[in-house]
Parts: sequence; structure tokens; C-alpha cells
Amino acid sequence: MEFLKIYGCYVKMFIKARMEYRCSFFAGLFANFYCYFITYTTFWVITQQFQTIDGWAFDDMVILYGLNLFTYSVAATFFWYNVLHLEQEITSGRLDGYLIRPMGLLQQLVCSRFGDTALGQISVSLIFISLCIVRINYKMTIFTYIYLFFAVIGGVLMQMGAMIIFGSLSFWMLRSKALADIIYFDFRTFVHYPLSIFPSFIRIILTYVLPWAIINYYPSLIILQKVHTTEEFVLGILSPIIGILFFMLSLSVFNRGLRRYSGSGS
Amino acid sequence: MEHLIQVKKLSRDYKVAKRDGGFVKFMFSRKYKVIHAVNSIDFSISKGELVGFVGPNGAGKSTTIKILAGILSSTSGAVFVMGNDPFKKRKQNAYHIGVVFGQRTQLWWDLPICDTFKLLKKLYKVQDDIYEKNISLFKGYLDLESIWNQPVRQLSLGQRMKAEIAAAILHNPELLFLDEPTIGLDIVAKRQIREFILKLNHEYQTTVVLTSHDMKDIEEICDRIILIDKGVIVIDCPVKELKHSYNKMAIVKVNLNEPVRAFNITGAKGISEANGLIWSFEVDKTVITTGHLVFEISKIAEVCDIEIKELAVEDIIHDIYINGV
Repeated sequence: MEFLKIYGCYVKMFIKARMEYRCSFFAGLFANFYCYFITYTTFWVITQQFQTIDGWAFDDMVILYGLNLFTYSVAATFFWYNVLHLEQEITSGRLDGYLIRPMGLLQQLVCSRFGDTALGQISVSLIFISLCIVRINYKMTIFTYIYLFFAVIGGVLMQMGAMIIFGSLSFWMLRSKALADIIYFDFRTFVHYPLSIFPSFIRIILTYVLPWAIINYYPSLIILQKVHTTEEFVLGILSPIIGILFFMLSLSVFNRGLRRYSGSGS
Repeated sequence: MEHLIQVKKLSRDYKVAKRDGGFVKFMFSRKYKVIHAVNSIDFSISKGELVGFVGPNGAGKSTTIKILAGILSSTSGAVFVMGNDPFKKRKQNAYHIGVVFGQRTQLWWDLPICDTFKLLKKLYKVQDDIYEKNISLFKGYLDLESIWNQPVRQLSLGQRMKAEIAAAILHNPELLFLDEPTIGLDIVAKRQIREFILKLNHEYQTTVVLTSHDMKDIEEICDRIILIDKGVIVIDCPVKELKHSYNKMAIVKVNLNEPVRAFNITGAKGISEANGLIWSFEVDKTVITTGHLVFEISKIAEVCDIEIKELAVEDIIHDIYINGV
């Protein structure tokens, strides 16, 4: 609670400071909005041409992609700037300034930069997802709505965990953004499409090695009633719990990294 | 007296990649070299002391301060700040210390300083009455009134540094670390900061640990000096004592009424200028006092003007950097 109060205070200050550069603020929001608006329309164009992608119609694609983008951008409002980009804080020496304050480092990093630009992605995703849910309403039950709520929380925790882990790698490598670009950003583009269209080794990698499919693919199978195997059902139902575990894992990686930083101090 | 800081056999090593050999060699097989930034140092600081940390660049001053502030862990040895290990109890320690890094800002670049203070108030849970009292103190002594609503990016370096110091002590820390607080400032701002630190120490018994390359800072603020070189404490004594025991030389310059060819006084080597009308003597104070020297001179020629120059702390430190103790 205490933390939320301080966080609110930081956000208020941040927006005040950001208003000093009003144009840049709104341009950032708009750029993110229209960039992802185009991605959503691409799915529309593709599904217009080919009807479905391996049985996935436009509405299904919106749920699949929307779950990924929405959870990503919610996580990004907290963690994108100074946690995922921890290397900037380390190489500039600003990290020492956080360490003299009576607050956890990760909490301060979250407070120090509100990811305002992600609001563009959040709003475009909300628009598409809600329109889509209205259209597939006949499929939705009370259970699906409850499940959707927990799946989103699990997904957000997975995305936050990934940002924390890839940021923390900077404690060891000083710069880790390039690695995050490959393993996190590039590999995640696979899960913009149903995993069933890929060879099975990619499915295995994205489920068990880099578990990005847990964020959106398996939850989508449950919501859209496309589950075929027990494995898919189990992974889908457990996805919120996997999210929590992954987030906890990321916290321990972060703390280990911080200890290592204080030990090397470079 | 109560020891606020206790440091016993503190060492701190850095592992640095050796940058020899070609590019390919550096990319694929690195050798590491261990550097002892701080090498088994001992000292303790009591409540209310004003301590100056001095040493050439890379001597280990900042490393020591970072360890005391809880930013870095030590390689070996024991550190206690107010009875706690600052690294293990970092957050707890943070309430009791204030830190200013002269080279890095901790204020919010785009916000007026009043907002930064409001945020710090929340962060350190400062009570309203203490907050109001401190703010009016800062406005009075550090001229913050006129810049209170200006964004930090518009402030001059001097104004900013005053705001930095105020921000570091808003929560009334018992211990204040100042890492080069006067770097790049003009004399007016420097003097104001020095006076403020002394006042703080006088009124709140704040213990201050300061590093600076400006020996005037040390001379005017500190009553104790700790000189570190290559990770080892070379000197740890009161500033007065340093001046006293290392000040064995003085320069005496005299203007005479009539030219003199040569002086033969033991303990004072004279050089003449202006055809023997002006003489400067390098006096070895262990052999002869300046008073006696003047007496000896006046036996030979009438003295119309005298100038006596004592070595400043800066000269003494310079001498120690180059020649050792």
C-alpha cells in the first residue's frame, strides 16, 4: 500500500515533467497507437484473403495477438524503460543514486519512469479485444470471462518477469539489450500466429524453453475452445500459475544480479 | 565518544580485464588482473566529527564512501555504520545517511526543486513539522527561495549543488557524505556551501565525511584529515597537527634599505633579487625561528618590509603525493 502511494506520487510528478515536452508526449502515444493499429489491420487483410490461418479467423487472431500485446504493454508501463533497459542505468552510473535510498532497487526503477508510451498500445489493444469479444459473445461463458481475467494477470506477470530477467542480465554483461532483442522480441513474433502452423520443435521451444506461448497461445486455445490435447488444456489452465512462478524466478535473478553488481562494482 | 563509523581491516578488490594483445585476443580470451582499490584500512569516526578524505585520483576515496553508503560490498574486513553493516542493512542505513555525488545529479531534471523535495519527503517518511522547518532553513541559508519553483535544468551549477545538498539532508541524517561537493563552483558558492556545512555540524552535530581536491575545503571545514593513497591510509590526524608537523619550512622575504651582497645564517638559505635589495630565505624551522632570522638580518641591514609565507595544506599534500610521508 505504502508503495502504491509513493508510486502514484512518482507518476504524478512524471506526467508533470513530461508535460514540459507536450509534443513529444503526444507524438509518442500516437506513434504507438497507429503502429499497432496497422498490425491488427494486417490480420484483417490476411484473413480476408485466406479466410482462416489454420482454422483461426480474424476474431481468433485478435484474441491471440491482443493477449500478447496487451499483457506486454501493461508490463511495459512499469518495466520497459528502466528495468528492461537497466544497462543505461548501470553504464551511466545512475544506479548508485538509487542505492542510497531507503527503498528496494526494483521498486525505485519501476517508480523512476512511467512507461507513458505503452498507453498507445494498451488503448488500441483494448479497442480491438473488446470489439472482438462482443462479436464472439455467443462463445463466451462466465467461466471464460473469469479465466480471461486470470490469464491476463498471468500473462502480465510473464512479460514483467521476462523484462526483469533480460534487464538483470546487465548486472553480469553490462549490456544485455541486444540479447533481449533476439530472445525476447524476435522469438515472441512467432506467437503472433497459432503455434500449430509451425514445425513441432518450434512449438517445444516456445512452450518449454522460451515459454512465450504460455502468455497468449494456450490461454487463447481455452478461450476460443480450440483445445485438442490434454497438454494444451493443462498448460492453458495453469498459465496464470506459471506466470506467478516465472515472475518469482525473475525476482531472484534480479537479486542475485544486484549482489553481483555490488560485488564487482564496475 | 560514540563511534558512528567503524572500519576494520577493510579491503576491496576489483577485477579488471587486461587489455593487452590484439582485438581478437581481447574478445575471446580475457585475463583478469586484481586491483586492490582499498587495502586493509582501519579507522573510526565519532559523532560530530568533520573528516576530510584526501588522495590523488583513483586512491580509493570514492570506493570507501560507496562501501560506507552501502552501495558496494567489501571484499574482506568489517564495516559498521551506526552499529550496522551498511551493505546488509542498506535500506535501514539509508535513513541515517545523506549522500551527495558532486559529479552526478540526484534531482529531477525537468521538475522544479520543490517537487523533488515533496517526493523525498514521501520516500523518507519525513514528518510535516520537520519538513517545514528544514525547508525554511534551506531557503534561508542556501538561497533556495528564489529558485524554488524553477526546473532543475535551468539552474546554475552553484544553485544546483546547493539544492543537492539540501535534498541530501532533508531527512536529518546523522551522517553526511559529500563526494566533491564544490567541484566546478565559483568562490561565492563554495564559501556558502562551506559555511552551511559548518553550521549544520554545529547545530545538529551532523557528522560529515567529505572528499575534495580543493584543499581550501579541507582546511576550512574539516578538523581531521585522512589521506589515502593506493588504497592505504597514509595519514590520519587533525588538520592542525598536519600543518604543524609537516610545516617545517617557511619562506621569509625581506626588503632592505641598502643592498647586501651575502648573508651567512645557518638554517636559512637566501637568494637575492634586485641587486641585493630584496632577499628571500627558505627557513628550516627546526634550526632557526623566523623571528631569530629577522633579528640576524637586521644586525646587518635595516629591514623595511617583511613577508612570511607558511606552507598551505595544499603544498603539504602535494609534497606527500610526490615524495611520500
